Amino acid sequence: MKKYLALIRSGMVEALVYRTSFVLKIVGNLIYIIIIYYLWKAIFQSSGTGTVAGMTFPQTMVYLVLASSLFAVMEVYLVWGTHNAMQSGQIVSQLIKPVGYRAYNYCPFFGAMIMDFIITFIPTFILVYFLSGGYFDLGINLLWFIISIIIAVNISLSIDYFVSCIVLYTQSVWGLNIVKETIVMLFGGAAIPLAFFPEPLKTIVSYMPFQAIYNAPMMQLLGEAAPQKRLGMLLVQLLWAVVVYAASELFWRRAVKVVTVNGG
Amino acid sequence: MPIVEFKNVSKHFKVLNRREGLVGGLKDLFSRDYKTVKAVDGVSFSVEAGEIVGYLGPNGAGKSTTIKMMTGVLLPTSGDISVSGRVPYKDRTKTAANIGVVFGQRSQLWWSLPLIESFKILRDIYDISQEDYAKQLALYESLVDLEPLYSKPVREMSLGQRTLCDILAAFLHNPAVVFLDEPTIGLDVAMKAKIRELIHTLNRVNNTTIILTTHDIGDVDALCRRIVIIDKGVMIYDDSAENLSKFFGQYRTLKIKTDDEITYESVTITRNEEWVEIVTKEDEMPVMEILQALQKSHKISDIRIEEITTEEIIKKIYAGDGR
Repeated sequence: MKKYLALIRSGMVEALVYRTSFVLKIVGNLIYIIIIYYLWKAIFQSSGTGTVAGMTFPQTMVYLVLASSLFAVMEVYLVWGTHNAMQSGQIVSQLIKPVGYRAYNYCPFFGAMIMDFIITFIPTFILVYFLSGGYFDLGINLLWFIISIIIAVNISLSIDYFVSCIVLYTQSVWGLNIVKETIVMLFGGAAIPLAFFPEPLKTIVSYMPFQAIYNAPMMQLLGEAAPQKRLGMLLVQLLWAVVVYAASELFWRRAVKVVTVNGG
Repeated sequence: MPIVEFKNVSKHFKVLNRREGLVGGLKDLFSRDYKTVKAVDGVSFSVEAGEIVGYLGPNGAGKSTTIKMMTGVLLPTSGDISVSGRVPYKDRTKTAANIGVVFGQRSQLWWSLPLIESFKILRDIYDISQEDYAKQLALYESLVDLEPLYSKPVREMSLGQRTLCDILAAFLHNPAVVFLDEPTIGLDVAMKAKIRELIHTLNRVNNTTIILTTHDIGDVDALCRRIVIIDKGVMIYDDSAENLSKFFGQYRTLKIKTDDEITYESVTITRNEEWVEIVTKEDEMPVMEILQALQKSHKISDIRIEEITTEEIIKKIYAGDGR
């Protein structure tokens, strides 16, 4: 346990080293929010009615602002990390640690996410709460939300881990990773609320693991549901977490055998 | 019982035969034209606890591949490997707890963190007790001036400082075996000497087994009693450093100062400004015989006879005319 805490801590400390990059991340997120504000304002104005797909403009904005800052917090670069480690040969020094590759990479990400969550998400959250005039509850739903996020992070990491395994075969994964990022962002519900999806797609997406990453925590936070329904949502998430974990672990065990290390 | 054991180990890579240019690159996308590269081919040796073994060979001989197999990163195509009683690729994380590795060309310290933070993380992930950790740091401080480096992020260090820290990091958990892959590459003479002394001391203090690859013969002369040489994946020498010259013949260099053009049958002749250097195998073509023959036909103003150095022998082996 101590070794994992040490690695989580290393991620937290490292996240703080590059201060400018931290500021830029917040600025970037702000620009993104301004863009989606005007984009969705135009969509709602052109629709003529106050609601689109059953959501009002303030509802949509609250969802998107929070979802996008959640995306900024939870975005994982494990595929890039593996890609770079593979290209430079640095993967050797990760493989010779007495900690499994998964834990060795997950833990620093957890650490960095905790810092990101505190520094970018919580201020955004408080700002949105006051700007929207207390639009959502601050009660037991926060607890559901937190648990849901923790599971979501694991799903997100496992998906990245799975794609990372492909890197071990192909050595390069640029295009594939772009596709992965887009799918996760779109079908996860970080770019557009899933309520806006047309019917057949909406159903298909609800059976995919991606919606468990952003949509599920957002529903826990913003939606009003009975505890049984909330628990049900959490269990679905948990199921996906287990499935994706198992799949990526099996793939990794095969993939690690083909590791070739570049350079001297 | 040997601490590192290699039994008939081979590692073959399947490599795509790549074609030239853009069109060739496009064709390669659909190519099934593979060739097999034998990076390591049937290598066997064993290392006893506490030894320092120099693992030598020209570029591309298969040294790093061997090290990567010993650390469990690469899976051997065939053969058995055992490192401190474990099969590395089967038990990679457990083997890792008992070995240390330094790759001279890449650092495994946390790039953006101060050195002491890296040490603390290593302390926790290798599960080093507070007591052992303090003891090891005290040892380090007695060997090198470490205090000023503690708060320095690794990315701001010079190559020499970084290598030094990487070596210290590899020994931090007091491993049974340490692999040093070209630890003195790119360092100046003073730093090389410092690093050699450090490695020597660390080997002695805890009886740590060290396997060292290098292209610097100075490293071998300073540290290794035993040498293993590999070329094109095949082991060609495994014996003490002293026996190297006996094994490859009693070579000598005869230096002659003359203005004439010198030719002589079946010996290597090179001209170095006014000196002509003749390398010969003593038991086949004695130096005296050559000298006698040459002084009859040429005007010689000065002579010197030198024993061949380890470096010269290695050079000859690499060039392929060792035996």
